[in-house]
Amino acid sequence: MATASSPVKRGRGRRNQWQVFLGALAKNKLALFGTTFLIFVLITMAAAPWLPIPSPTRINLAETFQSPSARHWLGTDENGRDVFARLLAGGRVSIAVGFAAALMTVVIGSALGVMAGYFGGLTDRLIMRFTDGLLAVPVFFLLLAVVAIWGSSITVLVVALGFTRWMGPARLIRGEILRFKTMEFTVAARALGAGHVRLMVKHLLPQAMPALIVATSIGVGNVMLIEAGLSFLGLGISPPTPSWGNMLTASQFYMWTAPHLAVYPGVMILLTVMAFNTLGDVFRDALDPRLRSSGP
Amino acid sequence: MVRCLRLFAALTVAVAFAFSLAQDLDAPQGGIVQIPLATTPGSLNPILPSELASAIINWTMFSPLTAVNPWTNEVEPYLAESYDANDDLTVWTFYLHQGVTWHDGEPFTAEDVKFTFDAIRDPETAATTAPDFARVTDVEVVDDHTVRVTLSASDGFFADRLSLGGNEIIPKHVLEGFDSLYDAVDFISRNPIGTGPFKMRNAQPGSFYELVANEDFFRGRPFLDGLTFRVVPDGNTRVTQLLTRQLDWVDLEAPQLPSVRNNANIEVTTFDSLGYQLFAWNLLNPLFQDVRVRIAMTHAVDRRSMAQTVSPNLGNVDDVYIPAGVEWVERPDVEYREYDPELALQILSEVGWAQNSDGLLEKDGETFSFYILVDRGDVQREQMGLILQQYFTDIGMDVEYVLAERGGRWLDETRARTFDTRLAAFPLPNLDWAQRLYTCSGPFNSQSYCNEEVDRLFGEVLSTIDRQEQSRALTEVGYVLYDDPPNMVLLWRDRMTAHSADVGNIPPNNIKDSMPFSYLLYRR
Repeated sequence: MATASSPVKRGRGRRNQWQVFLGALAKNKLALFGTTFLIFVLITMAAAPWLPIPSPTRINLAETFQSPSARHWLGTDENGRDVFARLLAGGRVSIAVGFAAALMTVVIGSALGVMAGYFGGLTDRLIMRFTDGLLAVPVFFLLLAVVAIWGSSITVLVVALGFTRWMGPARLIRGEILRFKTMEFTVAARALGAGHVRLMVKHLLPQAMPALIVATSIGVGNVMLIEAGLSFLGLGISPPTPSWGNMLTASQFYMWTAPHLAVYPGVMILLTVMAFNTLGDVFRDALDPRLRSSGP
Repeated sequence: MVRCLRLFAALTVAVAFAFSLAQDLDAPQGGIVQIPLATTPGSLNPILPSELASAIINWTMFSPLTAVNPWTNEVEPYLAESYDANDDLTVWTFYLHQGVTWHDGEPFTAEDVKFTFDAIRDPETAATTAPDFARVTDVEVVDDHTVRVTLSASDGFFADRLSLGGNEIIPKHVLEGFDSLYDAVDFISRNPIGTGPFKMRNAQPGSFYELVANEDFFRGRPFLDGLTFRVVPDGNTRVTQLLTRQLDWVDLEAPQLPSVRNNANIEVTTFDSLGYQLFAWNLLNPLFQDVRVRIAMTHAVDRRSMAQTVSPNLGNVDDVYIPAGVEWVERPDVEYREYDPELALQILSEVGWAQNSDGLLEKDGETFSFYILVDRGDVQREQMGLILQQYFTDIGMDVEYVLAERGGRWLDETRARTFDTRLAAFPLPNLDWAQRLYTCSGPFNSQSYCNEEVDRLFGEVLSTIDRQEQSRALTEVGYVLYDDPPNMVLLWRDRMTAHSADVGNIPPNNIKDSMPFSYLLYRR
């Protein structure tokens, strides 16, 4: 079996996946900035309980609309709550919702996409026509209806987003599977007696992984934007739980007196979504061999 | 009868005096004033159920028999030239203005009044003001300009209530041909015909409504040549459009004040809204049935700080359930329930509630748990709900904050009386409204408050039109409500409007309630 690993060793000029990723990241200055920002934000959020900042939900009527100070790093809002603490707490909620919902879209999307691509025929047609049908429904309004019926909690939001946004990944994966299922390694595996499930899960899905990772990364950004939009309309995360979207909603009322309250969550949404999108680009560059530069 | 007429004459003189003080009746003619509507009006037939936007626009095209003068807050005859009642206030006679014509030129008569009142009483119409006519047994046309309304019981506020909107007179000759008022679709959506100061020229539902002056308006031609109503849903956009002169008169919230304050082209008017924000307990819930619990919860909240936060320098808090702006009622002299969480805990412990090891209030193994239902959209209430949650949590209550759609869960739970506690606002444009809120069978008494003494006193209020008698009974009501609070007063709201400085005769009132007097607006 020693020979099995030899192709990798033989290409000494070839780098491993991690190096490829770092290489791609170094080339994309925007993505480098985005990723640094993201890592910084995630670490700060994780460290929030140990930082000397007040509670994000504690109201203090004696300290409304304060300017930044040693105690309140970004000042306070209309209820005297610490804006910095709320940004961190809100970001945790927004990013968690983004990740959870994006993962869910990818799981549902890849399950259906793999089945459609692998089995083809009637299964393919049924799944893909259903997908097309759902794609024809404006997602945002579908979400509005879902949230209006089941109320807005984090769980409802994640599930609703997951169930209304899996169509893109499903089509993507189906395309990948169609491409790979006629290739020799699939034929070989089948000849060796692999069953449907083994073929789909062990042989085909890993081939589609690069596309999946890209879809997830970009999906996180998109879902965060939708969550912000829903919260802005008052249908996403409900107070007192902060999220960047509902912080924006609350601040619009004070746009004449305290416009900076809208700037903070706005900038955070902008930078985070941009970071996830550029990260998606880097993943695509790194993982798709067709896009990889062929060297000098 | 004689007493009634004397009172009425005195009132008229007082009103005329106030009038001459407040308004410029020698104003230039011409120009247009642009006013925002938050939504497309649901119905241009004033008696059909509708929302704020309809109330605003309909009052400029249709005339009620009586109207509240926004400069004095007094009820005046409007389309009725005068009115009186018999001694036990069961028969009300309205003497109508002569020579009034509809916008299409047809003469207005007592038949139109009967047609309107009968339509409001018809359950098929589902008119918002149907409860006002619950006691009406007969509407009789005495002659072309006299209508007599017979009631099943005394009602000293019958004529006053006709001024509250939704009771404007509609044309019999246009609408009698329809099986249902809802079938008159063109009338409802585009081409209403009224007797009011302005008539519809161009209706573009969803966008704007252009009205022109009614040259034959029975109170004299309006100073303006027209009014334009623009549908602008967003409050900040409305203020921006005022700054860019696309609108002339907008309601203003406190945080928007800095945007217009130093603008020479804009003037701000502050007025008592005669309404209050409140925290209501559901008294069907055993948790709140003990009056001591309600009083303790009142002491647990720093209502003055909260009011100052949500409405800086606009409004006040006290424990009197009668607006200070209604000057003819003597206010009960009661002590304000100060913020005192220690006292709150002490009172609660008398009832049996004590803090357990987790700091939560507990009694017989149950914790003090409830939720506050808040309607989305009113920024003051959204904010006060959060603040209240914290004050109650601080004394060991387990409180959930539930933000719900006003037209959805909030209204459903209000109607079904299933909420634990809720935030709401009560307008008291007319003190008669208080009986809708606090009598055992009052139509807006969703908190299920019932105090026999309050019912008896409101019975006294309704059985007279003598303001002094009414004032005495209402002051008594104030004392009873203080001792047995139906809800917690959070804020008596002062409100603001902002208008272009070159528009004159802007009353100190909200836009809606000023509309019957829109014919006095003018442009410098």
